[in-house]
Amino acid sequence: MARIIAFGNLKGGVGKSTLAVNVACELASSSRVHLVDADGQGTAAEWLQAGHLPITGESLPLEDEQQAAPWMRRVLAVNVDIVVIDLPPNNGAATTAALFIADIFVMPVGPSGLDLRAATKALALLHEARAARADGGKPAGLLVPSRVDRRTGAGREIEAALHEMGEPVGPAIGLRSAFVDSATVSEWVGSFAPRSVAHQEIITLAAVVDRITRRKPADGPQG
Amino acid sequence: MARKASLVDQMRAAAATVMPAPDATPATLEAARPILADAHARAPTEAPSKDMTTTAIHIPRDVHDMLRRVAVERAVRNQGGRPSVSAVLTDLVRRHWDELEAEARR
Repeated sequence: MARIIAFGNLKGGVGKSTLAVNVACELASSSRVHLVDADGQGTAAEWLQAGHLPITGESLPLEDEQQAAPWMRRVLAVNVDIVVIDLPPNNGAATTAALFIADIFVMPVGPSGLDLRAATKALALLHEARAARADGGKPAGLLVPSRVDRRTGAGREIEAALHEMGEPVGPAIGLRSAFVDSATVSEWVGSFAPRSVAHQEIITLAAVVDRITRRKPADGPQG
Repeated sequence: MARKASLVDQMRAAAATVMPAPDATPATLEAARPILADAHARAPTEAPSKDMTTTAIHIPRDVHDMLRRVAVERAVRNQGGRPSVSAVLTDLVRRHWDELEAEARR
């Protein structure tokens, strides 16, 4: 069965689609990756449609909770190594359903009070789903400081703020024009600006996500 | 709040019909810690800069492409350093400093 990596938060504009697409493309260097765009806005699916990304994908929004089982079945049935899900910015059916099938829930969080408040709500939903799942402990959570500008006080402080939330904090992703420019031409940073800082940040984040989702209980201490 | 709890219950029921038996591979906070410590140590860092300014320039695409190609080549020569168009531009200006200064004085 494919490993499932969900990117979500309850707030828009935090970089969910940007990180989902770029991490999916980075992971595609060593795995077969399929991107599921569960956000009705279809940003990631549109990005994919141009044909410049090294991954497959589809638009698969879930708005009716009655359709959750077929939606989950379809995501689980994709014959690849890794499925990356780009979620909509709300705690509706898609986000909740994804929390029940994902191996990891990656939450990009921007450096603002509004973003931090939304992350707190997303974490509450994550904990609720984790408690309700049969395979206790899943999904792993990963808070990712996103759109970080270290020239600002908020940018420097976000990592400290996230560490207080009790879930692992991943490597920070900067506010970089390479992300905007690559998306504008429907490419990912690894092809648009290889070896740039933006690409290095994506490589680091993808490696962390990859290693956490590969981790078996015997590999290390369990909490 | 009641709606959210209900949604979680619905998803739990839906998941029970589609998920395979648990494979007991939870990636917990404890398991993630050494991975994250390693990643944070390797993450690209930027030293805070003084006496620098950030601006935007509007230049022809081919000029930008050339600056970027040189930046990437220099980064490769430096064994994986950061490609920096700003550094290439700075280097060019430094090389022509005297003639630019002379023009600025006119």
